Amino acid sequence: MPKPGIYRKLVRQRYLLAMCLPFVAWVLVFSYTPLFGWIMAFKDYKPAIGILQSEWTGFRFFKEFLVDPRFYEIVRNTFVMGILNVVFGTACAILLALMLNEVRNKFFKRSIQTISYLPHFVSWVIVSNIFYTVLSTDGGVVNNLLLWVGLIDEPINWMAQGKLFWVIVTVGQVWKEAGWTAIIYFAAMTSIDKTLYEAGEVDGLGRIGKIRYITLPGIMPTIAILTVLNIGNLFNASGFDPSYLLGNNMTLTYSDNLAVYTYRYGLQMSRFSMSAALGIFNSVICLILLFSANKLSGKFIEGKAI
Amino acid sequence: MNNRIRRNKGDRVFDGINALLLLIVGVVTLYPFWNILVLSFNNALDTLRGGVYLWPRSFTLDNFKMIFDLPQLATAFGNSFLRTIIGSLLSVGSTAMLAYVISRRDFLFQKLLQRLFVITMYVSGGLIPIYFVIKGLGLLDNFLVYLIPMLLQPFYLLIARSYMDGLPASLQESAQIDGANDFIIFAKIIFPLSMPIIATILLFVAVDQWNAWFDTFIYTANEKLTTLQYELVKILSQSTASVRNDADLRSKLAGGTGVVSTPQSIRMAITIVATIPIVVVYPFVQKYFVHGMTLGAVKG
Repeated sequence: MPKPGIYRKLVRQRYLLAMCLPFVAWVLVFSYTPLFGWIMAFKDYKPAIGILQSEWTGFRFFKEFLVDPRFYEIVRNTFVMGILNVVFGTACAILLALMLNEVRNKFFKRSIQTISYLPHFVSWVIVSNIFYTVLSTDGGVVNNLLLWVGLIDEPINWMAQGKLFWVIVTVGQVWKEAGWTAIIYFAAMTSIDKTLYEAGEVDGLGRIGKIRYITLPGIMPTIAILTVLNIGNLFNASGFDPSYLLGNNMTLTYSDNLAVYTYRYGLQMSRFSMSAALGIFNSVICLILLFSANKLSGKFIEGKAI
Repeated sequence: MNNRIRRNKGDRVFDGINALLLLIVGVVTLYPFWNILVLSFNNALDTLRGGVYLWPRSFTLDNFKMIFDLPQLATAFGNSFLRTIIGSLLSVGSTAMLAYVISRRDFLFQKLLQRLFVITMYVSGGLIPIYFVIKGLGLLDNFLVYLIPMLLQPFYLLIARSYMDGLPASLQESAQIDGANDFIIFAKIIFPLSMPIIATILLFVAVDQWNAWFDTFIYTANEKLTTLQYELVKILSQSTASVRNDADLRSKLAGGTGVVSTPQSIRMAITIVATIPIVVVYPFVQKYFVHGMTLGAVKG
């Protein structure tokens, strides 16, 4: 049944329509058109003859990467670095927020907060430069400090050890983002009812006791929501920049993640179809994680997560 | 916290340890920046001897002179600056306007519109398909590639919409009764009232623009379009790829002009130039973004 009111409403809302149309066009072009590019994963795409003329290959490229042993290394790296990032990132952020929450001196608290946000705003390019500098073998401050303390006898070439890469990239993520993530936990702490603390005091709780029985339970809903969101984002958590910029020829086995691998296939080797197939694989895994996380949130959290 | 809390000895020990640990966090966060700053002002050849930590041992401005003499770095700085200013103004204006339309629950296509953007948070065409779209639009080797693809981000849209949802509806209604059209309502009422969230998003997008390097890397080949972060990436990958190359570059850099520097020290100086704008700007907008961040987390 046609609704006579709709046309009139549309005319009345023509300004709203005009205000959003350019952006609708934008999102269709930049976010939805690329989805049609997924077709090239099922074709042997040759730019010279165009996507339509290229020969169909079915799942050939998917099969090709699924039998490549390097692919499993990449998936392992992506998951491990993602999990390390989420676990240590969350734990350190909560710890930092708890510590800040216990500080009484406003100026000191404010100063530490301001300092702790700073690395969030600088790029991974800068963070990588900083890491290469402080970890350098000739005169890097970390090596010299360890030498001075006597923990090591000769400088360690940190950036050339494949096995250390996961540690370094996790330290980098925590160093860069813990202060920023702590903002949310800290905000959740400040909204805990103050009378709870007074009651806890009457019951004889000490500082640690109050953290254990009042503060932590008070921020549990926030922790749960963010954990669900993090699980949904697990596969992307390691990111392109840290792996690409901190990694080097000597750490490839441990540093390359799916984002970097997709880039290497696509733009370094110009294997467009292969790269698109990897992109689809990535999206599918992400969607699976997202839906599982949403299911989880339905079970554990009342209300909505997203 | 309140003053009535009695402070016994255990309390004071707790506070002491806590403060000490936080102090360490502060030092660990700040010192690396300081280290780079000190190195950037230290004589490059002296730096090679190592042991420069707290203060320049042999103070010089040569490293900075050097980078401002390199023509591609002046271009890079200009491009980074331009894209940050133009790009963030464009983005923040667009984000605010679209967020307003999405915040209007009576709008016929409100649900559809919101979904259209939220879905893009989770599904992406991927690197290569996006590359070909950019290529097809003729944006390769074009300054516009820094502005248009980064125009909108769904997360910023959602935090802006959340903020606008919280504004009193009566203001809009009275303006509507006075016969103002929706654009006027947005421009004259909603936009000014949303300044706190607009300042936050402006900071976020400005930082995104200033820090971006990947688009320069894959979408441009023209040296005139290079950016500061990308130059830094190039120097970083040169110095990590082959340490031996350094010797060549070193002799090249030391020769002729009397200005002495090394790739390593130049790296420090560019790092400082790329970091300073952020360090200078962000403490002033801190109160806004903390608010924006918590708002986004709760309602996003």
